[in-house]
This record gives sequence, C-alpha cells and structure tokens, in this order.
Amino acid sequence: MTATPGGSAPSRPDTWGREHVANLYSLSVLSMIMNAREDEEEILRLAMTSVGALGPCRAEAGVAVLGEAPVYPSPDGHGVDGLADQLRLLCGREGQVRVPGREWGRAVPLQHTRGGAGGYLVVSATAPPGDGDVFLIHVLAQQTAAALALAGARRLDRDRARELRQLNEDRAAVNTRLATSVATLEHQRSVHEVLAQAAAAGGGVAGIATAVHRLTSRPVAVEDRFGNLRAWAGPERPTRYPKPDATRHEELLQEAARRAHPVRVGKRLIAPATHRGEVLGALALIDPDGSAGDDEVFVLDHACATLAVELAHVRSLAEVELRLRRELVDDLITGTDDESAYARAAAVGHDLHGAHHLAVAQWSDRVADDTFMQAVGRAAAGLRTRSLVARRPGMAVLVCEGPPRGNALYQALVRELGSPDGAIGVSGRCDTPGGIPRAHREALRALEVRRRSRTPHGATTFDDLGLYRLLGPGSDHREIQRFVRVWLGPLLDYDAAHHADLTQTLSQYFECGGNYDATAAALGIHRSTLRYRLRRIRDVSGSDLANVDNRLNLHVATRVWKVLDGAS
Amino acid sequence: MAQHTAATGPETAVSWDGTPVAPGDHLCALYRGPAERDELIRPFLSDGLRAGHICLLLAAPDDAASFRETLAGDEAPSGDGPSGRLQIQVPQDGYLEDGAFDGDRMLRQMADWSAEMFRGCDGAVARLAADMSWAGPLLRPAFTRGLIRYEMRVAPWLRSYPQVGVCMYDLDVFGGDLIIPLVKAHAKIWVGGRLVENPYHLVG
Repeated sequence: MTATPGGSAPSRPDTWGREHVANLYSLSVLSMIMNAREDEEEILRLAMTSVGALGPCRAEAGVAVLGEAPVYPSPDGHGVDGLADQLRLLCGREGQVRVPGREWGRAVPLQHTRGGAGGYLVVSATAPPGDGDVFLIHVLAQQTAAALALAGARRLDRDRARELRQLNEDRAAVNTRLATSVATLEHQRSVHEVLAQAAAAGGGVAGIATAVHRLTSRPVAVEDRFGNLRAWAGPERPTRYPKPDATRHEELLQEAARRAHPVRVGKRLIAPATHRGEVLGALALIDPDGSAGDDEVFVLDHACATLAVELAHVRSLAEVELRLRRELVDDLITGTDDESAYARAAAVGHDLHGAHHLAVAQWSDRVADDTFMQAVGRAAAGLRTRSLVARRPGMAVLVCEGPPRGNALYQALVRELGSPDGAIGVSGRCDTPGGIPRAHREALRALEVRRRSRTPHGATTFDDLGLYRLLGPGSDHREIQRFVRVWLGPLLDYDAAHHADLTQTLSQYFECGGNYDATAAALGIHRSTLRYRLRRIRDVSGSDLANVDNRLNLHVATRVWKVLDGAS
Repeated sequence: MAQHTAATGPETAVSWDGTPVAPGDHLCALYRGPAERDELIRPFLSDGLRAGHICLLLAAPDDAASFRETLAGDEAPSGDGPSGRLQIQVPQDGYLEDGAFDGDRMLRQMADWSAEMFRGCDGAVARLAADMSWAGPLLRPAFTRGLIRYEMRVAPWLRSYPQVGVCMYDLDVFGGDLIIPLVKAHAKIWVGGRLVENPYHLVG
C-alpha cells in the first residue's frame, strides 16, 4: 500500500507519519461509531477487532469492569490463563500480562467509571511493538473507555427514564383509580343528596320512588311487605299490579334481607327495606335487560335504607296516634277538662266541638283485639262517621261526631266480622267533653239492655230505652222481670197459649192515651174488636183498667216489656 | 483515462442523505442494518433516476431484486422530464465473476462500464451505490487487503467521469479490522448521519 496524501491533505515527508495520522483519523471515526453504541460488549468487540488494523498487536480480551467475565474478539477467542488474577494484581494500573506464545503482553486500563475504576483492553504481540503502535493502542483504549462511559451514562439515563416512565405510569394508574374513586364518591354523594332531599321533602314513599327513578332512569315500584304496590315512578306503570304468592313473596324478602343485597327476580331487582330485622316493604327496580350494575345496586341499597326509615316513621306515627287516641278516649270516659280534651283531640285530627255520641260494640265470639278494632274503625269510616276509636275491656268504644246510625253500624260490623253475634249500645247526645262519661254509661246501659233482651244481637240507642232509662245498670234485672210478670204474666201466658196479641193491644191502648179510635187504627183492627180485646184483657189480667194505680203499673209494665222484648 | 465533465445545473446536482456531493466523489457510507441502508440508497438512486442520471446499484441478488421493484416507477419517463437508467449488478457480475474477488479486474470492468455509459453522453451524470454486505462471509486478512487496495484505487476512476460512487458497509456485519482501513481509504465518510471529510486518506 502506498501512503500518499489524498485530497487537500498537506504533503507529508514521512510515510510512517502519514500512515500514523491516517490511523489516528480512522480512530476518531471509530470513536464516533463506538460512541453511538449502547451495548458495552459491542463497544469492546469493536475495539478489539480494530487492534489488528492499527499495527502489529493482537487483541486478547476486553473487560468492561474488573471482575466481570472478559469478552474475546471472537467466539473461539484465544483466552489467557489466569487473566482475572493478573488483572486484579494490576489494581487498575497499566501493566504487563503473560499471554501464552506471545513475547509481549499488556493490559491497558479502560477508566470509564466515575470512581476511576473500570476494565482492561488486553493486547499482545509476537515482539515488543514500537512506541507509535503502543500510542495508537492507548488512544484506542481511551476512546473505548469514553464510549463505555457514554454507554453507561446512556444506560443510567435509560434506567432513570424507565423509572420515570414507570413512576409516571404508576402515577397515571393512581390518578385513574383516584378519578374512579372520585367519580364513585361523587355518584354516591349525589345518591345520598337526592335521597336525603326526597326524605326531607316529605314526599313519603312516592318521593323515594321518584328519587330512585331519577337516579337510575328505570321504572321503580315501592311495595309493602305483602307485595302490594305503594308507589310507582317512571313509565310503563301496569294497569293492574300483580299480586305475588304470599308465601313465596315472604320467603323472597327474607332471603334478600339475609343476604343484605338486592335479588333478581325475572326482570326485577328487588331489595327489602328492613328495620330492626323486620321487613317493612321492598323496592323493585324494573330492569328487563339486566343491565343494572353496581351504581344501580348502590342506589337500591341506600334507597331501601331511606325507605325503611320512612316506613318505620309512618308506622311509629300510626302507633303513636293510635295510642294517643286510646289514651284520649280513656281520659274522656273517666272525665277530663274540656279545654285539654279539645286540644288533645285536635292533635290527633278530631274536632270534639259539637254534639257527640258514644257507641260501644261487643261481639260475643270475638275478643277486642287489633283486628276487631280495625274492623270497627273501618265500619265507622265506611259510614262516613268521624270518630275516635279505643279499646276497652272486651269491647270497642267510639266517640262519634254527630248521631251514629246504630243499626247501620251493626250491619257494617256484621259484614266486617262475618258474624251477627254482637251488640252495639249508643248513648244520648253530649255537647261537651265533660258529658262523655255520662254518655259512656248510657251506651253501656243501652248495650246491656240489648244483650239481655230477647233479641240480643243488634243496636240499641239509649234514647230509645224510654222508661228503662230510669233503671240504672245497678238495678236488679230479675226484680224488673218479676214486676213485668206480676202485672202482665196472665196476658203473656194467654198470648202464648192462644197466639193472641192482648199484651201488644194493651200497650198500644196506653200509648194512644186510651183513645179507642187511635188504638184501633194503630193496630189495624176494628173498634169492636178492640172493645172485645179490652174486655178479655180485664178478664185475663183481673185488673180494672179504670183504676188509676192499675192503669199506671200496667203502663209501666208494657213499656218495660217492650224494651225487654226488643220491640223498641 | 479521458476526463469527462458534467454540465452544471440542477440536473447535475447530487446529494447523499441531504448533503451535496460533487461528481468524482468517492464516499464510504457506514450504516447499521438493511433498513438504514434502504433509507439511504432509495432516495439517492430515485433522485438520480428522476434527474435522468445513470444509476448503477451493486448489491446481493435478493436486495437487488427488491430495489429494482421499488425503483421501477422512478425509471419510467415522467412528463417532459428526463428519464434515468437503472442498472443493477450482483457480485457474480463483477466482484466475484470468477468466484474470487479480483480488484484489478473489477476496476477494469468499471472503467469499461463508464466508458460505455458516457460514450456520446456529454453532460450525463452517473450515480453508483455498492452495498458490500455480500463480502461479510468472505472477510479474511487477504480478502481485506485486496478489498482495501481496490477501494484506494476507485477514487481516480470515479474522478475520470462525472460520477459519484458510494461504497456502503454495514457496521453490524463488519468490525474494526475492516473499518479502520476503510476509513483510511476514503476521502469522505458518511457515519452517524454525518458526512465527514478525511484529509488524511491514503490512495493506492
């Protein structure tokens, strides 16, 4: 090869010098190539393969960092016995190494780490090379070390970039989770807010149903614990709400209550509203395509809690009102001041001003339990009778506004209870609460009279008791019956034996003031028939109707007989 | 060897990877991998074909077929503009015609090729790209010496005609044992995306 300057290179007098400069320039280009490499082994291999092109030396091995495995120029590298130990003894300095079959061997340090430590480029030659050749090896080693340092810095940058990327990804993941949590919390806050507003607005179960519909965009039904529809919100309200099988419905609600989670039944997602372990009702989300997810379940769960509070509140109110009504009626019966009575009655929605009557109802085959009381309440309400209803031992008491229709109330109760075996006693009028104790006694008196009459089932009004009103509830009933028997016994026996109406004729005669024409007309008989009957009455009873005393006693006896006979 | 000159103007302008080069230049391009090679060769030859230049590609058979396919569109006449000629040679056509590399024979062939191409074509410009990846498996000390000797003698031939020659070596194939002498044998080296002048290059 002839070494001559090319292009615009200055003329060189010395061939070795030009070759040397060309080598140095080629090393600078090699340095550019090595600096672009990121893999330490590639850099070492590039350096080692260059050694032979720079002079008489041969590369034996390259070590990036002392202690690491050496890299050889080719897979079938020469290998140097004990190279690691020889390099360790040099302690980072340049020095000779023994290479089998080579007269000259040298380890040139590759100082590329921050602390000055690094590896070695191990070269050898068959004879000691010249200074210029060794100089080129040193330049190559320095450029190799620089490339290794650059690669290390790049790796560090990559590692840091990777860590930064990982941190960014982790942060992004955290942010995503945070955003999800915030969205979930926002949804939950919205659910709480809407349901709280619904509860505070006093819209009751209908308000809750509307709130759930607004939150889920699905039709919503609120049912009582028996499956009856209490409220509906949203479209597609059924014209006739289906009544579920009672047993299966109860089992379903109990199962849902045990799981504390909505259960799917066909196209509906049902959640029970429970209060202190008792199922008070249920919320049903109409979800035909089964697309309701966690958000909808969350709404249902919380709506059920709100619904349970609402239902429990309604029940408590009812119980309190019922108790207040009972206590008020009890106090009215035992006697209380008018002003207090008016105020307490107003508090439970009843106006005690104006005329009132008391009614007592007693059924022989029914105890006065809640069912009986509810039947009485419904019967009174059905007659549009505003009343306070309370339970007394064995009977129901009604404080009624205006005169109650005793017989109509009796018939209504017969329908409610499915039994005619009962009686109702109705008091006279009382205009102030202070008169209620008396009215109560009157009602009891009327009830007693009805129950002791020959037709004990029905209604009796105190005002209709007539003379019997004078006989208090403490009177000896048998004595009264004996009185009737003394004066009317023969006539009653005669009527019974001959299917006659002498007692009724006598009673009507007295009621008509002894007027023949009026009596005959009232009885629908001829005047002569009346004369005949009166003669028979005198004969059978043995009483002279013209005698004033006889006449008074007989009149009283017929009045009592009519009451006892139920003819009033 | 007769000296031919090219007319100056846009149609004679030649650039390599965006850097202007002059007719007669001998470049050594050190690239990494086939993808980078393709990104360098395609615009170089494509621009030449569109400028009506004579384009010669020396590459391994598989690569040659691929380039012929992708550059075919640029070879066809386009409107009133000139159309270039794309010629492709595989190593067996020149470098390894007798099964072994003979630099002297190759230089003679290339000189004959230039004479034929420029005969009666004053003002023409030739672009030559030679991808030497095929030589990787053949790399032995004797082969390397012959190749470097050939490379050092290519420059005078290139300067004898308005032609630009680029010898391309894959750094993933060739190591320092070839890179060092290659750098010493070229006046211009393209490496790492830059074209650098080598004022200390050696000639044969």
